[in-house]
Amino acid sequence: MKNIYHKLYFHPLLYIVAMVMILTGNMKVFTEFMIIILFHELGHILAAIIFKWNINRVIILPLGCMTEFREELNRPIYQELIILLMGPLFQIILNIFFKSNYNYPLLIFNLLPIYPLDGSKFIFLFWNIIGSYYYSYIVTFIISYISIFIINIYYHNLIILLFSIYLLTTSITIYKDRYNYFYKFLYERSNKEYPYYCSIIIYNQSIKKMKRSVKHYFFINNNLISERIFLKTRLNLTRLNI
Amino acid sequence: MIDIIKFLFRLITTILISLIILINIKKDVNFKNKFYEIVYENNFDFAYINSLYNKYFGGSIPFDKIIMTEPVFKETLNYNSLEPYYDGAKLSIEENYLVPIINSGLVVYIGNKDNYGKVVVIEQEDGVDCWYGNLDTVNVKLYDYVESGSLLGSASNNLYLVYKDDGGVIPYEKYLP
Repeated sequence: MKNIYHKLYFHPLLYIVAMVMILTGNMKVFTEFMIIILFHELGHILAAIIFKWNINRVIILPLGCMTEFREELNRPIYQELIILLMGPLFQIILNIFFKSNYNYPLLIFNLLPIYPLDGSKFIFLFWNIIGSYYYSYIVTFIISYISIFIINIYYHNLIILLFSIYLLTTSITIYKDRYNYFYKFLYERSNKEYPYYCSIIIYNQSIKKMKRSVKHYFFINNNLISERIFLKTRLNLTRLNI
Repeated sequence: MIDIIKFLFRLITTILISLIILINIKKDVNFKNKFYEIVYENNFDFAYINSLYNKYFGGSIPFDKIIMTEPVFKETLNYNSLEPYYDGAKLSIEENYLVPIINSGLVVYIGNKDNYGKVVVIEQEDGVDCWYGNLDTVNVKLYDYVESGSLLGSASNNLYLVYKDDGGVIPYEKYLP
């Protein structure tokens, strides 16, 4: 119990929005928001506990929560997909016994393709399946930047503007760190054998074409080299070059 | 350990503050009157702040534009005659009359009051509380913002209206012709 309490982080934005909502007499709406948001996040957390994912902390924000994981990037795609789907599913289940006008608006807002929100994570996973791991970062973050601006052009609201500033700053920091994440992805693959579903051959040594949950063979000097051996040599070389 | 010390510190400070207030109430009559006035009679003008916020910053609720409003009921209050009744006015109306809201605001009270029957109190945007008494059914929910002209509830024969501001009664002639 104590452990869970220390993993909760109440973001300062929550206090600002709570003050605005209470001073304007919308306490009822604010409590409805918090019940919906926390129940949504409970779905993610329960699914994460079932799959034994390591939760770093849970950030509570006015229009949605965010669960940060400290976990391997090469975890199976189906586990991450189920963890993602459990949030909206719980929110729809909540609608059966807790009727609120703000349930579906919050659900639609949560499924927008802006980075920390669930919609962008669906795009990220979709691109993991059809494309390479490195380019899925670029695709999700370009879509996320565009949709932040579209939302704020069409919708004039101070709370949504403040929240989108938070979304923009977090997505910029993650986008800047994309090389770190990519090299973490490669290191994990070079150290450990993951369950892969199929295998492909890469011809021109381009590691940016590597996919998640797929085993790679590199075609070098008329030889097929498995990815673990290739990555071990390649990562050591890149370290020396730096 | 630190958590327990923090909790004890908070507990002791709250006990201390409440004891100081209680001792002062026992000692001083003026303080007691002032305390009761501030705590129980003055009300905070949520509706006024909400109208200001909506004027300068847009909607105070993020998704208020998306949510569809209920079927429109736009009416103005019609009554046959008007006479004073306790603090306010007694309007004679038809049987099963659907009562519209006169001025938009926040619903702060739904319940029974002496001499007025079932009462709905709406805090208007100018900070004045409006009491709608002798209602049969109520169609609004507590702590919701309601628009002027929308449906409040139904009443038969008599409707009582009282205007109050921070404990004092405002003469109804100001609002009702």
